[in-house]
Amino acid sequence: MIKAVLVFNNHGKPRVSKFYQHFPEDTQQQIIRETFHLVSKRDDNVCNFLEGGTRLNSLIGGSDYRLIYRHYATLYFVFCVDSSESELGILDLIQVFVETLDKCFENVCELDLIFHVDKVHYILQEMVMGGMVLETNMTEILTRIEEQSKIEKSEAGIAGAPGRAISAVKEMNLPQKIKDIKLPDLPSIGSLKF
Amino acid sequence: MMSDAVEKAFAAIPGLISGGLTTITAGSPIHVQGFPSFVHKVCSLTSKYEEEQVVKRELTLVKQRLAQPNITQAQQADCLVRLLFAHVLGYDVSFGYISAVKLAQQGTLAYKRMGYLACTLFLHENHELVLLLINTIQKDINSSNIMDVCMALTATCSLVNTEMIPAILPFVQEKLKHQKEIIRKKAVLCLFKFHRMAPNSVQHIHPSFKEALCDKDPGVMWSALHIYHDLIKHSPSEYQDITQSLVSILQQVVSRKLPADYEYHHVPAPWLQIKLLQVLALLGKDQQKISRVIHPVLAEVLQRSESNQNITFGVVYECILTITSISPDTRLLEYAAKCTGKFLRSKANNLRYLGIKALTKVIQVAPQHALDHQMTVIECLEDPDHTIRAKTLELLYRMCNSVNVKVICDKLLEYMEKDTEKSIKGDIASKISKLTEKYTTNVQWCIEIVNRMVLLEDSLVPQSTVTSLIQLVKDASLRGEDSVLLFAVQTYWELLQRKDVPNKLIQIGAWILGEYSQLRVVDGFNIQDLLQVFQRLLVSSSTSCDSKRWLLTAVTKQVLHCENAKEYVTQLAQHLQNEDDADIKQRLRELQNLCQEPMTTFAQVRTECQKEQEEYDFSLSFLDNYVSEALEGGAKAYCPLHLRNMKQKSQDTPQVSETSFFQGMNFLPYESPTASISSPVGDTSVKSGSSGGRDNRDGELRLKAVKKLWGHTGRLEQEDEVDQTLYEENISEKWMEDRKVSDKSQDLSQSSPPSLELAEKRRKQELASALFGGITRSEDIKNDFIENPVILPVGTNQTLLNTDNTER
Repeated sequence: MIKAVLVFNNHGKPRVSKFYQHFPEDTQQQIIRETFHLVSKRDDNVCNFLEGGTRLNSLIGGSDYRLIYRHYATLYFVFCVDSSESELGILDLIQVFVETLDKCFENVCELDLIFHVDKVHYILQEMVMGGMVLETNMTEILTRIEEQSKIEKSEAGIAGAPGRAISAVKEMNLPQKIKDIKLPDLPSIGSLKF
Repeated sequence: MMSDAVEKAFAAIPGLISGGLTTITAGSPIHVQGFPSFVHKVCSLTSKYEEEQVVKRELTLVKQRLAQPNITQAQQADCLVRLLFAHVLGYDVSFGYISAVKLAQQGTLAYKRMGYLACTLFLHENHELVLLLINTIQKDINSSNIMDVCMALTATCSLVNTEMIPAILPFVQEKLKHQKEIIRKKAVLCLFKFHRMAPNSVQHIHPSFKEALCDKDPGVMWSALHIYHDLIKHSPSEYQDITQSLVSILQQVVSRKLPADYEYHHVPAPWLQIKLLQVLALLGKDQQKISRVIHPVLAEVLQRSESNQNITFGVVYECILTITSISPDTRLLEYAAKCTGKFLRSKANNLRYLGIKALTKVIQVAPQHALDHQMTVIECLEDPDHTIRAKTLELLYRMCNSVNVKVICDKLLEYMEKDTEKSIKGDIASKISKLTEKYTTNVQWCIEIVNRMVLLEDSLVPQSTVTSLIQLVKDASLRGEDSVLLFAVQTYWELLQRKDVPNKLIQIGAWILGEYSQLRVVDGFNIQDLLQVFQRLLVSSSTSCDSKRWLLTAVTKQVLHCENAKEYVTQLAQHLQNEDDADIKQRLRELQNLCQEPMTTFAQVRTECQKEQEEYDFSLSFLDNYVSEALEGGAKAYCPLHLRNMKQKSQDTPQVSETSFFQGMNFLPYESPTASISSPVGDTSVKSGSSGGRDNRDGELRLKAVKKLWGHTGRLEQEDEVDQTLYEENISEKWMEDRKVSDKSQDLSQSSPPSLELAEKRRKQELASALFGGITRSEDIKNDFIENPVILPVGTNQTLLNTDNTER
């Protein structure tokens, strides 16, 4: 069983975290920190498996878990799994996950994961359910995500018409916006009411 | 520290504004405006404090917005995205949980999805708010919209608790017949979750599991395998009938009968193969008949997994594990060992790691295969990767036998010294402790190893090591092995005189010196000195309370031999007056009271005690008359428990080992441990009558494995162990020879180092030959006689035993 899926950057800032086994909030944060601590000090040319130390054992409760991780540019993708999962199977599952993200966001970068954290979770939901691997076929996952967005779009067509109008107005101002990106939000738009 | 993230933020934002976000948050201008800049602000901050300020301010704003009565669903969804961001960073966003629940309840499709997602991330199965969701989940699970059903099933899987299962179960079960595979698949996984949480709650729907396993969609079948994996693990015998079906499924998978969708990098459904292999491993465990059904398909899986894909190795690895856990087949085992070699020779660290793990499994069934990979194992032992090293140590521990135990313990100690990770150190410490408890032939060595280990890491050594070592020394003293005692006394006398002695050594040392120092064999040793050392340790602040108790007991034992005991104890009491441990105080008080008595009393008490001990008749010979009378009167002869057991077994155990025992000591391992125990018992019971008087106390080599004063049947007689001693002398001779050989080879290498490289290679080879000592092509570690020490449970009364024997 997969106990947790953690994504954090090279500085240990968590970007995505999903626990399939319940831990209190602060324990979750400690697990992330400890995992980062363990994973970040490993060279890139060593193996991708890790058995945690004393601290992580006490946080997770027991030693029936392994950390299986991949490091891509600025991000670490770590799956914490118990002994019933195959190491190489999970390693390729991470690969499928990242490739799917890449397809979905076109050259995925750390910011995609921050801004579209919901979408990342939807993808993960299609791959893993309740800690068990649900789907490993990238095309299948992508189709399902697209289907969902399509339905949303069509729904937004009815419900979100006023909102779209406003965003369309904003879009006209796009070149200006890119230049002014450092400025804080425009208060006028922020306080718009429907 | 966020600089690169910030740079990326600039690069990505145009794209975000124009494309990405609009699809999700089309209705929310605030989101498009606010969220990126909020994220940008947070990411650009360097200090944790500033970040906290910004996020907290934002959270207050979000809280206000969520409290507005006329808030739209889009705005709610936007707020939830912010909360998700803050939640991942570890901030408390519990005020927003209720909004997530509301959105899941009332939202239209896209927002409902957001609401459900936030619920699954924020809440857990025992959260009180989940109660509010049950109704919604029930409603959505029955919706005609597939997306609704999917969302509801996902939420079910992570939020439903044991009490709610009955409310949801019928709907989930219904979905097993849904026309869409994805719904069936998710429903099966929900049932799996229910099964894990409360097996009883889904007991009545086991037929549905079977249906799911027979589903026409392989994906659904795969999900059902998760349930069967658990079921079979729990009670393997109940599900033997599905073996054939699983084998044929696996056969079809490997022969590419599945649609191309299921291929990953041209490997047919690798994850499914892995799962099938895992389930088959559980089914075939200790089941020869079933294993025979499984064997052919395993061979096929191995044959067809030729590509160099990562995942192929995953399948092969799982296959090796399956081969080693089911009833073995020699040919397949060889194949598995060959594949393990491939892993081990690989340049990829991941594969070598798995290779070591696989080898650990393989050698437990067929130890001879370890010999093929000696050099690789040595290299892995010196690998820079810590994970691989740790696994290799595990392998060494598993392949330990009476011949290589010394070298392996040395190696383990060496790593314990080097390693920085505390958990690994603790792990190694417990391994060494287990080994010293298991291979007790050489007590001196055990003492040395334990001392070295405790000196390295006192706190990580399990407390049981102390007691087992003491037991070992005690056993040696009962066997009359004075050389061991001398060694122990000498060692601990020297150790305790050092500064900063670890507490565990103090405890062992206190016991041994307290008990045996009267041997007074060590030069320059007298009781005064010993008591001074004890006193120094008792007063020292680094000595733990526990150790102080041990020390006080030792003082009590020794002070009686001392002439000025009274003064010593008074002095000691003064030093220890500040001690607030009640137990120590009590012991000290007892000691003081004891010293109040005139010295003659002690001596009297002691001699009386000794006398009394001598008077005990352990053989219970005073009952002989009674027994023989009873027997004459027609009573049935007493048959000890082990003999009764043996009688039952004797029908099916061959008599080979028994006869071979007579024919000049056959040292081939016995068929099974039970046979090896039972055979000598029968022999000695016959022999004991004739050779009872032989004295074996003079034997130089008396490296006895485990010696117990009391056996199942009563006290063990020293005289009756002639056969065993002989038996063990031979073992120890063999052992000595082995040592000589390896010593010689070491001498040779030291005398001629031609080049550095060659020397390094030779060093490795030597290490290999030492580590892999005792593993031969024909020998089986499992049947190692040291591991299953032959204890001679000689009965309390020989007449009885003999009667019993003739009767037999």
